Order: sequence, then structure tokens, then C-alpha cells
Amino acid sequence: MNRTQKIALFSLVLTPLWLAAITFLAIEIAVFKKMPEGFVLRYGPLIVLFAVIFSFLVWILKRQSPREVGSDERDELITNKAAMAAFISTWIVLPVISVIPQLILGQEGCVPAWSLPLIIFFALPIVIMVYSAAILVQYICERKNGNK
Amino acid sequence: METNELKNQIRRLRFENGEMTQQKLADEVGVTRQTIIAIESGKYSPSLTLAFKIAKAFKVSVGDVFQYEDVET
Repeated sequence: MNRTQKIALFSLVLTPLWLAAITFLAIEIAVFKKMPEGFVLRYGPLIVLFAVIFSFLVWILKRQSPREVGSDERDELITNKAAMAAFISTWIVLPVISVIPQLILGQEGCVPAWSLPLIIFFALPIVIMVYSAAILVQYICERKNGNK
Repeated sequence: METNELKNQIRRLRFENGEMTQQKLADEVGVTRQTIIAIESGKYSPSLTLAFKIAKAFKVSVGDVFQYEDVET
């Protein structure tokens, strides 16, 4: 597994955690109108997040040889295609997420101003997951895809 | 139907060059070991620049490493 694959796998594992944390925070603030109480609820997810990031960084930065390169032309081709998939997914994910409050609250419903940035915070991890998944899928379903 | 296929002699050339490892070849041409594996197994067709670098690493011509073949299917 090369560095591009490792980073994609790392993002794919990390972004659902990020999504879960945002959802948890949104529910706490919107429903209970307060920040989570107690050390475990308030700082536990953050500690777990840092532990995951640290262990993945060690794994990603580990080299098989001192002259080993991080990525090359084949990785560039794969990441370019994944970026295109992520770009297209942005135009699907953003409108879909924007419609959710309307579906929940109805046509005349109101949303607080602070909930608008949450749309971006929900959409971003989904787009990152699409990007990472597209990278991993291309490595798995590798075809004859050299520079023509 | 006629399709084209890029054959290569990397595996043979590696063994003829003191059983050169895929990692050593990858380091010499500046790519990852996975790319060498993909080229060797015919899953990836390298760019012209990379093809020349690989040939240079083995001190042979590009034609000695890669062969283009028309295949009838």
C-alpha cells in the first residue's frame, strides 16, 4: 500500500468520526441547547480523534526505503479522477443537504443562522469520503489506464 | 476485433541485473513500488518519460523493455 492509498484509507476512517462528532454536537446544541457536560462527553471524542490521527500518521510516514517516493504519475492520474468525482459529488451533496431542513420543518419553517455553517461541515466530510473511496476503488479496480 | 497490448520484459531484466528488487528499481526511476508492480503485471502503461527512465536503469533501449503488439480478439 503506497502513501496515497494510506491517506485515502485514513480519510475514509476519519471522516465518519468527524461526521459523528458534528452530528452529536448539532443534536446537543439544537435539542438540549447546551454543550455536552462532563469530561468524557466533552473531551473524550477529541482524545480518540487525536489518538486515531497520531497512529495513522505513524503508519503513513513509515517508509520501506529511504529513497521511497510518496507518489508518482500513476497516483496523480488516480487522484485527478478522484478529484473529479469529488467535484461532481459536491454538486449533488450540497443541494440534497440544503433541502433536509425544508423536509423536516416544512416550507414555512425557520432555521437558526448558526445551522447554516453546519451544512458545509456536513457536506465537506461526505465529499472527502467520496474522494477517498474513489481513490481506493481505482487502486482495487485497476485497469490499463496509462497515459495515452 | 483488434486491440493493442503493451508487453514488457521488466521481470526478466530485473533478474538479469543481479536480481534487482522492485523497490530498488522504483527508487532508481522515482516511482512507488506499487507502480512497478502494476507496470510489470501489465495493469498500467507508463508515460514515455517513465519508460525511458526504466530502460536507462537497465542500460537498454526502450524497445528492449516494452513491446507493442496488436492482438486479434
